[in-house]
Amino acid sequence: MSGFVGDSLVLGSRAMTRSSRNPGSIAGAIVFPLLFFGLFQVVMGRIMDAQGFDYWQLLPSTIVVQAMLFTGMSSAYYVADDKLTGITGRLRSLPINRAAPMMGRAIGDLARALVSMTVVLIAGLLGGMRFERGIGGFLGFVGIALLFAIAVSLGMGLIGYVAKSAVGATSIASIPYLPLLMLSSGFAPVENFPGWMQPVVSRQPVTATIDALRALSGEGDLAGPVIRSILWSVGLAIVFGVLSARAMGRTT
Amino acid sequence: MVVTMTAPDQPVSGEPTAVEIVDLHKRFGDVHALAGVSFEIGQGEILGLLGPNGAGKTTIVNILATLMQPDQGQATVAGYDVVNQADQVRESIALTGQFAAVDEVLTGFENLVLFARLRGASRRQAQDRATDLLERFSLTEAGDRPVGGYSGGMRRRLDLAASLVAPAPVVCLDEPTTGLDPRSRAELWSEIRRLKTDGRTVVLTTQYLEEADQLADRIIVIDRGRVVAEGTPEELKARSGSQACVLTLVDLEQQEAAIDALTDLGEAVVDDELGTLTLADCGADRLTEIMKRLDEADIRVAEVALRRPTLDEVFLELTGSAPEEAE
Repeated sequence: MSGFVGDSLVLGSRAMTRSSRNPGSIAGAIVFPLLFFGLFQVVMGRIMDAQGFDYWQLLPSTIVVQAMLFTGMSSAYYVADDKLTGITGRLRSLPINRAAPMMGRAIGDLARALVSMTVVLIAGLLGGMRFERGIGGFLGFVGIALLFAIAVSLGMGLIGYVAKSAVGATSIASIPYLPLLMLSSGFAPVENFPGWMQPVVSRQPVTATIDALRALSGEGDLAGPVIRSILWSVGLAIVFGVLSARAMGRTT
Repeated sequence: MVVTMTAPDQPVSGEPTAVEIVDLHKRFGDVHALAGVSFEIGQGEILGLLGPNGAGKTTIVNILATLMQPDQGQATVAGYDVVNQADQVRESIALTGQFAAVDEVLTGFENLVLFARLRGASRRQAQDRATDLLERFSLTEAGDRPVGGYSGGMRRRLDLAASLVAPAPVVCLDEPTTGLDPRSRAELWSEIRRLKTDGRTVVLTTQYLEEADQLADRIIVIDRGRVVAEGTPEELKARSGSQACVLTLVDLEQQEAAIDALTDLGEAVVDDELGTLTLADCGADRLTEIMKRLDEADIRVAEVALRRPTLDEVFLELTGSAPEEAE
């Protein structure tokens, strides 16, 4: 593990510098989630409230997961860019920890995810969202969201390793985003989907994570959704991480 | 089962060679990129690896830089085995690849600090080193600008500087001047020469005979994954034919007369497209004789040029076949 922490932090600070100089990345982390939040609240808020849901309490969890997916998407671009410009090869030729490049990128992604989540939660709290379980629930909320962000970052990074161009990587990365988000419990209850879709919608990782965040910020069954979300995030992170490490090992 | 008696942190050999390659093989699918390459590089030597696209030069560099593993054979850098002692090899080698692999978003200074810190320097040491290197590579003024706005030559200089942030004894330069204009190329050449005075060993791959000629102490010519020739630049040039003399006549009608006048000086080849006459194997010493004869025959010459052998011609001499084009 020699140098793992130091090398990861140096590469993490590089990733953060890169995102801080990219106006699109800042807009993606701050403006886009707020826009999403506002639009859904305006369009759906009254309908959902009329049906007996507290939409201000439920929607922030969805927007946080949306923000984690969205901020992670730029990983695909950054990884493809490093691969094509030869920086990945140069990093591999250096006497640094083998996992540090991936960890450095994850630090950059987590920084963006944190910014995004902070903005969304402030907006949510202003609108009436409450953390019913107190500080423990809040910390759990942040932890589950960041764990999911790591899985997303590694998955999007994998797309970057296999893509032929940085633009191509971005396009591919945007494909899973909308179906995963819309076909979840995020905007409408699972029971509202067609019967044959419900088993998929109720079990997919985005639903698991949104349900866990709602349970942590609200009331009701906690263990089930939290365990499902952790299993999904850790499982996906391992699979994507191993595949990324193998893809990176072939990059010259 | 191979039993290694050497401790993993000890060099495999105690020889004063900086790089040693023995019977290296590498396949990519059906392509035999390296088909048994062996050579040594002495400490402080600049070795030119000369060959066309697809000859296997980059594969050798990638194996030395631990980016690839050979299918067969052995390679050591500073005495360390590239497969079993990869960490020590990475401490001993600096790589400048075919693309200027620097971060376009960061400034020149930030790039050098980044790579120095990844080489283990403290923040302070890294900043000092970066400042020194920017100065040395005439990039001080551009140092606080993002690399995205640099010219091709500036990028390559920064790329080379990024390889020098640590005192790695062996520096691999993979086609460092491909695509550069002549002035930037000359600037980079003088930096590469300085590496030798630093006491570093340099592995330089190039497609240009002139570049190898200018910089290398010794040249190894590679074609289709094999070493086809080895020697000093002088030795190779002597083996591969010397300069040719290219004449352009004012009046194309006089070509026949010119060929007759020069007949015993060698066979003249006519290029109809360019309207030139080429006398092979003809150095500067023969120019006076040629001009004298043409003058006597009252043939007016528009242009005379001495042309060094091209890489294609060296290949033709060395391998008996023209170099293959890369896919």
